[in-house]
Amino acid sequence: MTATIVMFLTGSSLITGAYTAAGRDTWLCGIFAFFLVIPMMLVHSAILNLYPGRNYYANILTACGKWAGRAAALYLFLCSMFLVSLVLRDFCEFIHIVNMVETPVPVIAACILGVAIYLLKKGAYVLARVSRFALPFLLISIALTCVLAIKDMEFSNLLPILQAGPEKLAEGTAMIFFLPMGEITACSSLFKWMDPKEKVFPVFFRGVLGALLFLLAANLRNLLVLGNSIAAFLYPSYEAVSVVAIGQFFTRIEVLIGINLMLAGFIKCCVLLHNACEALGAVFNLDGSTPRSRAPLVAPCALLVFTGSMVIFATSEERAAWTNYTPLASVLGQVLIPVAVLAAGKIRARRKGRGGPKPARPSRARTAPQP
Amino acid sequence: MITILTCFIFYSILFFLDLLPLFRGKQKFYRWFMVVVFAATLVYNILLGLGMPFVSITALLMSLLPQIFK
Repeated sequence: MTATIVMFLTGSSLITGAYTAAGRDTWLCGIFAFFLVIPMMLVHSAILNLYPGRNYYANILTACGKWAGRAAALYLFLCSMFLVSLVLRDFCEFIHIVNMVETPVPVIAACILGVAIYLLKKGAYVLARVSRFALPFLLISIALTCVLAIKDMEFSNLLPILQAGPEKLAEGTAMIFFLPMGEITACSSLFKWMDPKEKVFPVFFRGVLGALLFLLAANLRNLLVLGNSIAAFLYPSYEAVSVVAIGQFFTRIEVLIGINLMLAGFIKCCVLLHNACEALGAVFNLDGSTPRSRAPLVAPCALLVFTGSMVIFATSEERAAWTNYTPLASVLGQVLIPVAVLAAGKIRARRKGRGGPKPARPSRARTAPQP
Repeated sequence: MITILTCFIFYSILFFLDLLPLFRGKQKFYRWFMVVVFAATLVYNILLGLGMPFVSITALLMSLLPQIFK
């Protein structure tokens, strides 16, 4: 589960390098965003622990009531569908631009979705196993690229620290909070299948911490190698690693970045698609008691994602402009709805505790004195 | 043209592996949901492949969000 969260959060941010308006201080924004997301992890853990079974969407329905709960689940379904379409399109654009220039984007999207459909129809635990298997590759490739890039790093590129003013730092922190840290909302639906003995918050914490370390390593590597020119590149990680060359024989290792995206981006797509299926199942009150209950919903959701990824944005300028709207668009689904659900759940639990039948006091039987 | 061809291949695979088994089963909701989504997205993707102009989702949201958060 921890591996799934790490792969999910690193996802597409590993390629883009999570560069923000704070410039050189983006790595500090990542640390601030991590501390800001801790309360959200506590909120999601509390929602999962509200009622037995750790079914995130069932808990939302129980806490908020039938219609408000379904409205919240529908909104979260639409958010998941939007996100997965965006991630899939980014994923396909990267492959199309960097490697397969002649291959149309729909072909790449269809191939990725085909594999995702197959994986999710087998059950969510397959997703967890794939993540666990793929995480060491991600770790090794990031570590290898960082070590090999040391000779190309200019440590003066880090200085001056905190050059960006408080406004830029706040903007950068908000950006990283909402993308990718705040997206842990989508991981909450996976906890239904986790071992009931394991606690939720430590798993969340380890996952987000692992993702932070990966993103920090990638961001610092890109900053130290590329310096100020990092803002000019669409895929800073790819450009930073393409600089690395050892002699004449060890070159073109930027393929490792492509492999990172293939692994982490694919897991991100699968987690979001799974979350969308769970949310849709909650909206229509469908049975979700077994790992394969939602299997019939995977293909329709994937088809909607396929279509959505084609119309998500028309030009790359729109894509770039959308990043400025990310905090506005994400605040409702990532912060306000979970907090409102938790508040409603706690109020409902307290009312049940006060209004319910009180346990009868054990009566002291008065027996007649024995002659 | 390649987009339409890709759609046909992708949708054909899903038709045989996903849609047909639903017709054999008794799950009515899933059957009708899949049929509706299948048909609607197939038609829309073919129209997109033929060059139909579309308004992107992000353009719509970028015009709506400032009005909501005014």
